[in-house]
Amino acid sequence: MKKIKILVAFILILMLSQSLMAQKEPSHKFLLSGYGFTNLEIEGDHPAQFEIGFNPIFLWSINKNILFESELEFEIEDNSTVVVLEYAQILYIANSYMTFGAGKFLSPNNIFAERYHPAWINKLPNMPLGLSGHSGAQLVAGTQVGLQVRSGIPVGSTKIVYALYVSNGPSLNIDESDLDTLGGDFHKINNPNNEGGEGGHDAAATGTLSFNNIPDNNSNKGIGGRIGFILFPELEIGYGFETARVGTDDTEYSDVRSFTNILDLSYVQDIKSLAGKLDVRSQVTLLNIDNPGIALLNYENNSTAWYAQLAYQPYYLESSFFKNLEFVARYDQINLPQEAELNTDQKRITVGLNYWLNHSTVVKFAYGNTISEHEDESESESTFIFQIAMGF
Amino acid sequence: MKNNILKILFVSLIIVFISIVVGCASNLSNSTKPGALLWGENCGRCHNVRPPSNLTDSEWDVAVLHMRTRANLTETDAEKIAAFLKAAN
Repeated sequence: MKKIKILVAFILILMLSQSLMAQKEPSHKFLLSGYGFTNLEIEGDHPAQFEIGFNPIFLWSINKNILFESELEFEIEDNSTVVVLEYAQILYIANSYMTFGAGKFLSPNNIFAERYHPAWINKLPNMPLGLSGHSGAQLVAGTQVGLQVRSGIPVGSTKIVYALYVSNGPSLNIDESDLDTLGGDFHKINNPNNEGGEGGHDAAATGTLSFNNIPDNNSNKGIGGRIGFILFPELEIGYGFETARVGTDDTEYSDVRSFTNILDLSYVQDIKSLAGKLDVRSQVTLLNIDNPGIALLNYENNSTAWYAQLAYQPYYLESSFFKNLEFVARYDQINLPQEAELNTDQKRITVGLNYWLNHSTVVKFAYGNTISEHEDESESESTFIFQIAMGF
Repeated sequence: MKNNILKILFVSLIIVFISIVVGCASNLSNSTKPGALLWGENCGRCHNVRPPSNLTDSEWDVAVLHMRTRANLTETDAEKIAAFLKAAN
């Protein structure tokens, strides 16, 4: 009888504790976030083209210090759905001044890639030249595979933010058709990953870098990072860098290194006298790849890309229509070495008009004019882009 | 390589020096700012701020943790922003 009483008491305690546990907030928490967009692009004489994208973001927090985050990118290419693992990393907050991350992560030295690239955040429907494999030559990585440490350190009313990473780093592209002229299987050992921009969207031109470096083409690891300074809450300036040996092991190009310098600025200010918000963003990227003084790469391989963007939204106006309008203008430019295989310089100006349906859903209309300069020839092309984007 | 490292150190030191000078000269430190102000300043730097009613308290915990690492928020700032969002929810 006594044993039955103890057993009943034990079961009651267990049930009560489970009931209390059920009411208690779980330590594992999940959030599904992300964004989606649809584009209509009319470029020069090319047929008008619809594009869509869906980027769900999965976030799990195991406790207050451990987070797993991942973003998938769904796109339709050549009538097939393509899925790309945009990023996936485990983050551990060690203390107030150090957070460690491991996995595939947005490149911390490229602030556009890390913070501004989602369609509902990017003020224009296209990406700045040089920062994305979707728009021709790419000078800097959008993502890294490796380890990072980062955080922010308050200094009075200002803050210094930093990020340092070690990753596979970029790999040097050697074009197969150029290498065929040298004979044999040379290209296979000099460029085993033969790919172009991130995700392999572009043809790999000799002297350019590929940022989709899995498996790593050499034993060296890239080291990079960014230090940012939030001078006022409205103003952030930053300096990013990356250094890496990019040549493939056991090839003539194995010692070739690259060095990237990046400067960025963002200024966001409510200006009552203008009845709205001003948003200024800019980024300058300088890429230097060694000249090994041998065939195919015997030239100064220096490239630059930069953009400056201004946006204004008069959201202090009383009219519910006009306060949701946003005016945007961006100038961007890329300069590539004239001796290189990929050597078409481009200058582009884009103007856009956005209408915000709510805080994270926007309809964008943009017109861009691109001037491409190749040797002594110059060509101008106009582009119209319509986009509807939503963050959730 | 050595020159590049020196350049990185030089630029970093300039940024740190300016930060310390300006930070110490200003009156309002980050530690005295309320959560609502930090929410507007930090989130609005990159994108439109999301209304507190968009997510549940539990979801805000995850979202703020995600943005703490992405935007390099300090622990205090993240806690204040999360508290504001939950209180206003």
